[in-house]
Amino acid sequence: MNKIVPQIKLETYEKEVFEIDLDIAKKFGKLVPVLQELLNDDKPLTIKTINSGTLKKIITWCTYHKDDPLPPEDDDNKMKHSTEEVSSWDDKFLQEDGQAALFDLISAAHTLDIDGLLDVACKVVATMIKGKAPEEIRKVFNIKNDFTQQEEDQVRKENDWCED
Amino acid sequence: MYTDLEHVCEEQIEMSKPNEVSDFDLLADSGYTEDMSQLSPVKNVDKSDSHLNCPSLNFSDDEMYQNCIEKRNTIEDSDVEPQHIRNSIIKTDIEFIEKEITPARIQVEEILTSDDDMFCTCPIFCLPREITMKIFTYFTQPELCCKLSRVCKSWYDYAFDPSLWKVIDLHNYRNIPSVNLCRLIAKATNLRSLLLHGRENISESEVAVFTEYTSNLQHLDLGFCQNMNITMLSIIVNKCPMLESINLEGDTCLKPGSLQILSRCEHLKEMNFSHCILENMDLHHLAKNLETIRSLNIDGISWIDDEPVIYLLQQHNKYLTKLVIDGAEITDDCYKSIAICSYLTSFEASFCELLTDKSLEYLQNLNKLKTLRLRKGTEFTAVGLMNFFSSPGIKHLTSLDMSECTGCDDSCVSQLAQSCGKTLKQLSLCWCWHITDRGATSVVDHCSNLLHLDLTGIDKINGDCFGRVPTEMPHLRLLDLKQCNRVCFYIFTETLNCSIYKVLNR
Repeated sequence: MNKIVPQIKLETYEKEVFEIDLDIAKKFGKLVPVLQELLNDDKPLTIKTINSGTLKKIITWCTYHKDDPLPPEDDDNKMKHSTEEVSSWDDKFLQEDGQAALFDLISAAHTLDIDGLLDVACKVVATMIKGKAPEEIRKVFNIKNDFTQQEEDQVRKENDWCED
Repeated sequence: MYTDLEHVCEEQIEMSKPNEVSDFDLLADSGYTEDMSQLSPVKNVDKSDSHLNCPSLNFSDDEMYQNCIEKRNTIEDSDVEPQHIRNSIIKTDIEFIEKEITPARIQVEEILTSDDDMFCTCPIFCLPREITMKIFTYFTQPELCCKLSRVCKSWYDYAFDPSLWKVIDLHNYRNIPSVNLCRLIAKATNLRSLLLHGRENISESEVAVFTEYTSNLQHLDLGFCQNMNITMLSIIVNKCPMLESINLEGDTCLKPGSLQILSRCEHLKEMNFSHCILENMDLHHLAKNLETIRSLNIDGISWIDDEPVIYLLQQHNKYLTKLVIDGAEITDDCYKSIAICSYLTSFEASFCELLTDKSLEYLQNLNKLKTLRLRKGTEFTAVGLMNFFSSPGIKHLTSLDMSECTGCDDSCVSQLAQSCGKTLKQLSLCWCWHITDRGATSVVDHCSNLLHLDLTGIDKINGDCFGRVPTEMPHLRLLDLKQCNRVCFYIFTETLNCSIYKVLNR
C-alpha cells in the first residue's frame, strides 16, 4: 500500500527544489507557523542562505533522528561543560565533509531553528577545540593571531591564575 | 572611578576609626612614609601609545602586590593598634588593584569589522555571535581564560562575555591574586553567584574593589575564608543589596555580634553559619529583622539554646524549608515548635541528647521531610523510635541519619526499612549497636535504591546478607563497615566483582 505523505517544497541558493516530508519539516522550528500554508502552496519557499548540499545533510540528519525523544529543558544557570553525549554516528556525519560544511550546517540549523541539530553540531565544534593550546586551536580553524606581543603578554598575565 | 573609591575608603576609615586625623599625618607619624611611596603603584604610561589601552607591564606587578600584602601583615602583627595605618595601606591596595583592572579592556570591535581577510579564510568567524557563544558554553571558566581567550581578539571578547560568567566558582583557585579576581568580577557584569569558598587570603581591599561590580549578586559563598571580618561583611552588606544567600561556614574569625549586620540585607533568605561564632542574641536579632528565612545552617554552634530557635521557628515557620542545628542545648520544647514548620523538607540536628520520645512525636507532624538527621538521640527508646518509623510523615525520606541513637533495635530498623526503604538514598545507623544481622537483612531486603549505607561500629553483625547487595541494592556506591569487626571480607570477594562500590572495613 502506498500512502501519500504530505510534503512541502523548499528552494535552495542554487534554485534546486527539495520536497520534504511533513514529519521532517516539523523539526524546522522556523517553518512550523507556516507549514499549513506551504502544504497548500505549490510554489516552493526560497531560502537563499542555504545551499543544496547543506539542505541535503539537514534532511538526512532529521530523518535519522526522526524518532528521538524531546530533549529535557535546559537549566539556564547551569553551565554545560560536557561534550560527551555526541553519538559516534553524529560525530562522523557532521565532520565528514570538512569544517566549512559543518559551519554552513550550523548556520542553516540556526536559520531554520533546528535545536537538536544545532546542539549536537556546536558540541562537535567544542570537541574540536577541547584540550588544545591556543596555538593548536588557531591551526585547526585557521585563525590569525591578531594580538600584538604586548597584548599577548597582557592576556596571558590576566589569566595565568588558572594555568595548569 | 577613583573619586568613588576614595570615598569608599574614607567610609571604611570612618567606620572603624572616627579620628579626625588625615592619612598624611598618620603616615608621617608612623614612619611608614617611605614604605608607602614604594608601595604605591606609580606607573607612567602613555595610554595613546598602547594599542591595548593598558599600562605597560614590564616590571613585576605581582612582586609589588606581594610586597603590599607582606607589609600589611607585618603591620597587623605588631602590638600597636594599627587600624589607621592599616586603613591607609588598604587604600593603597585598593588603588593598586583598581589601577590594574580598570584599563584592562582589549578593544575588538573595529578589528572585527575591518579584517576581511580573516573572514574569507576562516569559516568559524562566519558564525553569528550567538552561535559562537553557544559553543563557548561547553567550556569551563579556566578553559575560557587559559585557552580560548588567548586565541585571538574576538575570541577574547567572546570568552569574557558576561553571559558565560553569571556564576564564578573559584573554590579550586583559592590563591588567585586579588588583581585577577577583581578583574574577572569587573568583567562579569551579569554576575549572580560568586563562590570564593576557602579563599586563603581574602582581603578588605579586594572586597572593597570587587563589590563595586556586584550590585546584582544573589549568592555569595565565603565559607572557610579564614580572614573574614566585620569590615568585609559590612562592605558586602552595603554593596550587594540583592543578596539572597550567603555561606560563611567555618569563618571562625568573625567576632560575636558580627553576623547581626546581615539583617540589613532585606532579600537574604538562606544562610549558612555552620561553626561560626553566633550568639543566641545574634540569632534572635536575625530572626526578628529578616523578613523571610528559608534556609539556615547553625550546625557546630553548641551554645545555641531553645529561646532563639523557638523564636525563629515561630517567625518563619511559613518559609523554613531547611534547618540544620547543633542541638546540644536544644530540648523537647523547641521541637514542639519545629512541628509547626510544615514546609520543612530538611531537618538536621547533630546532638539530640536532651531529647525524649516526645520530640519524635512532634516530628511526626512534618510530612514533607526528605532529609532527617537526629544524631546522638541517646534517650530515644525503641518504642518511641518504632512509633516514629511507623508514622506516615517519614515515608518521603531520601536521607536518614540516626547514628548513635542507641535505642534503635532490629524491629525499629525493620519498621523503618518497610516505611521508607524504597525512597531512601542514604542511610546512616552508625554505633546503633543493638542492631544485629536481622536489622541489616531488612535493610538489604527493602532499601533497594540506597546509594550510601553507613553501619560503622555495629559490631553485632556478621554481614552474611551483604552477599546479596549486588542484586538487592544495585545502586549502592558506598557501604561503610568501619569497626564492624565481625564482618569478614570473604563475603565481598564475589560482590566486589559485580558492582563498582566501595566497602570500607576497619
